[in-house]
Amino acid sequence: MDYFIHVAILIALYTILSTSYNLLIGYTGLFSIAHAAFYGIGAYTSALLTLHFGASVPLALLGAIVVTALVGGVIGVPALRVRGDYLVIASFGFQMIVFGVMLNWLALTRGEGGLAGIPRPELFGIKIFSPAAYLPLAVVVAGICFLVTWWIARSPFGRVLRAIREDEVAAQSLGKDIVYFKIAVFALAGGLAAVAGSFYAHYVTFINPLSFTLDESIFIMAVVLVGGAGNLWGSLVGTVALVMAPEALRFLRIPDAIAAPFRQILYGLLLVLFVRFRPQGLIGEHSATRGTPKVPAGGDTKVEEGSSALGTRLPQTSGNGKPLLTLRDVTKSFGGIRALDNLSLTLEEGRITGLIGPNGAGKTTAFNLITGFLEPDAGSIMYRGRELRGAKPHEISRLGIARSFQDLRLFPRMTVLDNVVVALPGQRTERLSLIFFAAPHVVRAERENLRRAYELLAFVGLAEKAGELAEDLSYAEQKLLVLARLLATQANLLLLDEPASGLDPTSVEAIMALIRRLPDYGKTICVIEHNLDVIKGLADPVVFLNEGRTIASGAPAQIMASPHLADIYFGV
Amino acid sequence: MRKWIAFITALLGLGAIPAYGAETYKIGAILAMTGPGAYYGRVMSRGPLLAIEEINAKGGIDGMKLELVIEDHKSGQPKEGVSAINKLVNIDKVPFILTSYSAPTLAAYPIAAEHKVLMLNGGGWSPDLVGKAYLFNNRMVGSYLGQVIAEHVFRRGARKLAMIYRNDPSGITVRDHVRPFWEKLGGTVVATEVHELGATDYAAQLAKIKAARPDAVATWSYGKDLGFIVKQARDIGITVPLVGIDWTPDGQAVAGAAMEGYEYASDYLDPDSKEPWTARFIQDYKKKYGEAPDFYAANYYEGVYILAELIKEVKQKGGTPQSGDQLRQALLAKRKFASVYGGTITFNDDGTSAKPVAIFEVKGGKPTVKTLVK
Amino acid sequence: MLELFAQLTVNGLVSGSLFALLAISFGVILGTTRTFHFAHGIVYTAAAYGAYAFAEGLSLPLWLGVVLAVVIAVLLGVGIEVFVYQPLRRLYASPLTVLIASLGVLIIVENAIAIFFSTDAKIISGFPSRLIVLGGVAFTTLHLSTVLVSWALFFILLLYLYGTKTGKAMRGVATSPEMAEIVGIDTRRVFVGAFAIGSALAAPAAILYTLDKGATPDMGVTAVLMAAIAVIVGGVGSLPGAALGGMMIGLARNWGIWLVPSEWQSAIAFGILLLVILFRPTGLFGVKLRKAEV
Repeated sequence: MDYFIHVAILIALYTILSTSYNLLIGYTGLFSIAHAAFYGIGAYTSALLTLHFGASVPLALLGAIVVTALVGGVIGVPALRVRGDYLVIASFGFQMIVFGVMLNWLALTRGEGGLAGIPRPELFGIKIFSPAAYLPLAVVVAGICFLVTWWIARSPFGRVLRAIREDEVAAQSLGKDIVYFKIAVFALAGGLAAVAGSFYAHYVTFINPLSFTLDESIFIMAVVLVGGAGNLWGSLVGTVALVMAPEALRFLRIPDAIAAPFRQILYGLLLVLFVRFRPQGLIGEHSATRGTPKVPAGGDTKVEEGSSALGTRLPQTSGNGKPLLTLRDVTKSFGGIRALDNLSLTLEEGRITGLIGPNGAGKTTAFNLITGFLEPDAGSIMYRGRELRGAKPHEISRLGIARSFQDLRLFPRMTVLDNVVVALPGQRTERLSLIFFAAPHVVRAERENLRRAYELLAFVGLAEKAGELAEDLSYAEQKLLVLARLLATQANLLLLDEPASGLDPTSVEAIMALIRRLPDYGKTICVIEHNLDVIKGLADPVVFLNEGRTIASGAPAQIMASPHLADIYFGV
Repeated sequence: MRKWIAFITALLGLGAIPAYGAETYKIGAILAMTGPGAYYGRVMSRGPLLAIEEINAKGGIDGMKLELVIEDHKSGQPKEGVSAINKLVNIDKVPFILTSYSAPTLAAYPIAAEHKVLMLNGGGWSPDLVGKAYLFNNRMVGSYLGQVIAEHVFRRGARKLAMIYRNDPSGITVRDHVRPFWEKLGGTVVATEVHELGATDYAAQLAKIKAARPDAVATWSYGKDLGFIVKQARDIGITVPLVGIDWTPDGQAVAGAAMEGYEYASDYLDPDSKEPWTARFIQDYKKKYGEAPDFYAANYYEGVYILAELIKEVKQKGGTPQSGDQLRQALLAKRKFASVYGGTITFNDDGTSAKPVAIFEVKGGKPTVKTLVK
Repeated sequence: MLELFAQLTVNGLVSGSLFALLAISFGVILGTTRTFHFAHGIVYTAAAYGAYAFAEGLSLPLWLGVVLAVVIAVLLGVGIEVFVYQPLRRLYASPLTVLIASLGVLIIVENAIAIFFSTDAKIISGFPSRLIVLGGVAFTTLHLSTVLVSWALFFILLLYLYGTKTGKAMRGVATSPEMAEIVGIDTRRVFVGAFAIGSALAAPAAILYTLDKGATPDMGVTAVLMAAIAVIVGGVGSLPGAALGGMMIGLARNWGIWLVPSEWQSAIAFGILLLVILFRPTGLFGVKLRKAEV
């Protein structure tokens, strides 16, 4: 019977590994293939602490978590510089180096000879020796890890992780500090893998580098992808399936020389077939949540005038003439091309300023400079008396400037509701430390945030779609969602990049009506639009850009009446 | 099918699995059946399978037939060693396990000791495998082999020795034993280079060794690694004698003609032996598998015969041979067994053994005995 | 000391040339198709085993074995492109999805080879290798051939890319696939061409390696990792960069033995990679490394 208990313990072990790896790859989209390295660092740290320093097993476990989390955080740094394919290779490098250290730093690790005689844990003075006694411990440890991972994944922190996976740039534009989140998630995944490592070391009582190879990392990846990236239950199912299957092979009369390569071929086939025919895995990310919108407590989805979600409705502030944002002599070149050439521009508080001009006039570049995605070569950008030059996108976002993108940059595989909630500012609950130490506060804050998000969705008319994935909305609905997400940032200054492009006339009307109401809530708006009817219906003043310079500004009727400008605009 | 039923019944917790027949005695083996060391798994499983066939053909041990259950540690994976021994001990209920590789053996050992299962290793040698109550080795101690071959090259006039060793406890132990031994003989060690396990490029280390101008190069390495070292040493113009403590057909295949003249000390399996048992073993092995056995095959073949002796001993005293503990008692009481190499093998208290050792020279791609060392 | 330096340099040039050949074979595919073709490693392995099967198994002359190995490599490489990558691209799969599929293919074929040929090292013996000693520095005729063949193939590839119409089309696709489509280049055919060329170049690299060190089923993983590192170090999109990256790794691995103990030799390449990623993510000669784009 011990044998089956052993298999069950292995399942518990790999559950920890696969769920923690899922945080990296499934939730944050960080494609690192080095989880076995974290697993190994945890195992070695824990083993060495007990063997050389006489630490008790729980203390060694704690040490292993801390050390591995630190290593994880450091590894997060190259991950900030590269994404995708390059991260894969960098993580391969990390995996190989860690393996090399285990194999070659003999004074510490004894190399291939490994560390033997690692003590087993004691619980209430009883040494846990037999697999049967180990199993309950394994289940409890794996259960705790699973709960921790699950709580993180569904917390506001986890929501930001998914937003980063979906669109890093958009997440930055909403004020998320990508650096913090990436390093935190690497440290977190590393710390959890260390639990598995420590657990393994004290269970088997012998470790050597061969347990922590690239193959092991690939196996963990296969478990997560087959089970379903972005869904922890998927990882659980994948673990049970992929750990049991090869053990079952031991009972079939397949010649050994063929069994192992055969098993590897099976993993390979699973990978190829799953990415081709079932990329979401056995249990996809949204298989459970789709179509069941979480209606917040209190269930009221009507927008009340002066509601808090939109900001306080102010008595007629529009056109008070105070400058909110001023660009002075801003210049930006790409290679030899001057995208902005001594551009000066003022956005007045409470007004909707229209930005028009032919393609390549520098309109979007101006947005990119204001929001910190690009740095100007010269000139100054003042916002409420503060210089914005040199500030990072998420910092600028937090000052109250929010932008939309021509190509929308929604978070397509997140629900409509989550797209809005993630944009709400000041969510201290996104801090990792708070999720655990202030759980009731998190739950309360979360309820309030959901309510506010619902109000915003109701404002743009998408309340019924709250539970759907953003990618499943129609184009017009997606544009409305962009607006709702933008409003959720609570920014005072909204930079709208072609909010009405590609829409049918009815939808254009609807979105114009919404935008027109915004100054009532104290919003200042700058809108780039090619549809001159939209500009006419919305904006005053209108600024005309050409070749990176302001060449005219004034009331819309006045600008559009100029035949000279029309010639430039239509490229005559 | 039966295995599946066994698997499912056991999964459902329906209790122990009945043995196939009361008269079968199961032996476990944890070998490198797959992975880069599959060569070793192949020869280490063929040896005992041949022995069992011979014993069973003669009616078994007092009518009791032997059966070998082979588990794979995938060329040295500790976790696989644990899985394997858990299955062997709990499902197959074996009292005796032929094991190989130090890592999976060390990982499996606590479970063997807990269940009082006797283990016998005839494969890789490592200082870690010494001094364990339930683990015995019928493979010669590597550091001793290193001294034997070192003395051999010293006698032939070498004074400046270069060593290249594998970066693991066994390589290091040999290095640490041979260096003072060599210096006591009156020689100097002019270069000591280390290599990673499973490396294929030794050019840099060998360039350093070449620059030290040694009279002989000693390799404390095994298998394919050794083959690469010998080949690449010749390729960069090292012409002095190359010696070591291992030779395998696998390493030979890698080195090819470069292996000519390589000398090594090892467990003594003389391919042209006149000893009746040795000659018969080599002949039968060739007939069954179509290739000559190496000493690994011989060690594991011998292991089964040692077990057969132990079973007889235990039975004679009226004990139960299904108890690993009684097998161990019998081994410690008897100590001396007939060896397939000719003569006897004697086990020591610390689990090591003494048996004939010889110096071989590779000629025409095959090892030939040069001298026998007692 | 000088002699040792010279010997290490020669060793570094020999292994560096092989890395360079591998790097350009991988780089031409990555640069043109933007596909992180991890399974390139298995194309390499298959070429080695193909040459082994024909030259040793069927006792054909070595040159014929080499030709047939090139054919096998091209068929396998193009097959992977047509049957695995193209369907995924049609589904607008992310580059990472393609990479996972690539990894899957690598695992499948590697283990199929292990079942068919076993994991023992396979040696091709047909090459008449002889020792050459020049002022204390020794190398073999095989090493010399490795250097000559690698660099000859590199210059032939450059001639092709810069001197022929199809080569120019390939460079066009590499710079801007959209632009290439607009001027009427059939990118799908160019992709297939890149896979054919890259795979064909992998075959001589694999055979030169096997003649020296023998083939094992897992040889491709290390090979493709080294190739990828060389390409990233040199800068993605620059073939001369990739070749120099390969040379650098070869030399660093040998010279490095002065600075680091020899057991750390295999970490040297990865160390260089991490340094490049941290301090010069564009690669030494490259123009851009895809960062998060605005």
